[in-house]
Amino acid sequence: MSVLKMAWFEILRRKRSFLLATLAVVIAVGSTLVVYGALKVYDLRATQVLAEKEKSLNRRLKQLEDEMRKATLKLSFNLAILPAKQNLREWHDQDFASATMPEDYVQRMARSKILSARHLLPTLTQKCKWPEINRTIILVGTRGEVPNLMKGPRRPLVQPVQDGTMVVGYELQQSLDLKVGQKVKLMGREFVISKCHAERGSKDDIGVWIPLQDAQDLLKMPGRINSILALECVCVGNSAIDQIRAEVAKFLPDTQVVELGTHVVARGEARAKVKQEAIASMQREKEAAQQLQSERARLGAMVIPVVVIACGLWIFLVALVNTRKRRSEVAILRALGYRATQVLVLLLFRSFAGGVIGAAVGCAMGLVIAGQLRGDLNVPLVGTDGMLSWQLVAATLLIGSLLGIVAGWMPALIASQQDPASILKDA
Amino acid sequence: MLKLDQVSKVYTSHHQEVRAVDRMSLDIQAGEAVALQGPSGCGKTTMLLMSCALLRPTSGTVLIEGNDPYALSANQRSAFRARHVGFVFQQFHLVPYLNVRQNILTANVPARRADAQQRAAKLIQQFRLEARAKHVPAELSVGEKQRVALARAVFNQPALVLADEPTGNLDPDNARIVLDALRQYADEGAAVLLVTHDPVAAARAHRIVHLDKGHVVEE
Repeated sequence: MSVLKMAWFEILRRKRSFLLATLAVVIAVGSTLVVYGALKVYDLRATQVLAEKEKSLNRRLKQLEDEMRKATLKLSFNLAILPAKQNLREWHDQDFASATMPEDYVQRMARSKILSARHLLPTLTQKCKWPEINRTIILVGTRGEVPNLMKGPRRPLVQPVQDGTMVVGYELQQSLDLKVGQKVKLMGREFVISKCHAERGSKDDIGVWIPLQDAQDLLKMPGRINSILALECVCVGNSAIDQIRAEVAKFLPDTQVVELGTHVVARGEARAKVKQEAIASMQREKEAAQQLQSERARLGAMVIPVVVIACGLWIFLVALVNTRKRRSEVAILRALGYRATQVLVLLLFRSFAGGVIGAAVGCAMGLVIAGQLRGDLNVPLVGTDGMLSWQLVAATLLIGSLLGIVAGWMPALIASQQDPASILKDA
Repeated sequence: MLKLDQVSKVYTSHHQEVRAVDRMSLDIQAGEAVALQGPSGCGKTTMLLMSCALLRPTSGTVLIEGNDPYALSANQRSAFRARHVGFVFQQFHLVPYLNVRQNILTANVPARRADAQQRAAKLIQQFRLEARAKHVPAELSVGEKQRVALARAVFNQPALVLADEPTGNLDPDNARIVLDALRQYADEGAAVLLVTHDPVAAARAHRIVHLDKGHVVEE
């Protein structure tokens, strides 16, 4: 017979109170692991959801950017390709170039791989007298659009002026009372008015548009043009105009490029704004998830000590009841010559055994439940990258085992220090 | 064997002193059984507890086999009790979760006898408990319980056995068995101090001492 054997016999004889104390440790250890596991699962799920959202957002952003690009395509800008020797101040002043370049340039542009310019419109423009009616006009010779051969045919933005016809500006039409279908003579050549433009409030109002060939003949400039209008140039970045200039310079080195109207910045800003808003929205989601995560962690940090303290109190009460029931046993053992420490070991062993067994069972149950919570998450249950770290499991086992001893210590100590004489006397 | 010299025990209760035993002297020799009698509250149990090194007297000296147990440290006194003193109580005080054999062997935990199993077997046979050896106290009759308590008391063959109303709850047959055993143990050379109200039990002792109000009034 030994004190530990006696303690074991006592446990076997009083299973119910032992199981009650053990259950408390099972709950403390199990719930700690389950709470930690659940927190980790929530974190992992939140991270997974955020990652999926981010992925989806990136996809959507790309799509949106594409849609935005398409939607803002109409905001593309127009260019004028002028001869290099053209004085720009004069060009701005008169709205047309005085210098000329070969008409062939437009063909070279069309054959080039310049993807940025879609519609090419060669013109020959001169301010001159309409001698038949003695009026100053701006004569524009145009042959219609030259398709960009690398981009495939597109619906033309500007329809060509048909052979033998003429288009007149508003002021001319009004002052001369010209009508569509009316035959007029310009520099001795007969044209039928095919269209009268509405009022534009610009020099266009005194403009006359005729086929390019006719204009070259009338102005005695065969095979010459003085500008190529490049319409709906596609934006390819914030420095698009520089890029286009560089591209044009490769094919037409003795020309210069002037931007007629710019929407590049607005377009770029719109796209950047969409991107920024999406990133900010994602950031807000991440912050909200982090806040939720820290709130859960705070709750867990509060719940676990409460559960452990409650379980400790439970073990304390079970141990107190047990030692009070065993007063006469303690007294007779002390009378038989047992030292106080031997009695302490005898009384404390059940708390210790309850702690160890409870910690092992609680750990196993906690891991099983945590495993269930894991669901389809592809993470190991225990490990460095797992739901629960080995350190946590080991610490829980150790603390669970100690919980029994700590909670049962005081009742056992008090009982072992009792005066056996007074108990035996009262008995 | 047991010598009490001018031993007094004073309890303080509610700021009042109660003198349970007052300058009492008693000498019990080896091989002698002494019965201690007296009315309730005369100090019998207090005297018994002082005699077995469990209750320190307020004054006076207790000597067991010539040694003063109260001069020893608590642990030494526990070891001393295990070797030199055996107890039997009216309430048996058996360990409820141990069977008969294990209850007897509880006396061996502090003593560590090499022949513990043989000694337990011999006592089980001596007290006619063979059939009950594996039963726990709840399954025993009161007579059997007291026999187990007696076997435990004499397990370490102490020089002094103290019995507090050992037959108080027993029927005559069981009382006789217990008294015979105590008397036999005294006859074998030990000192036995028996506290009892029962005149039949007292008559089995070699000597009867009467106590009243903490004093020996008659021997």
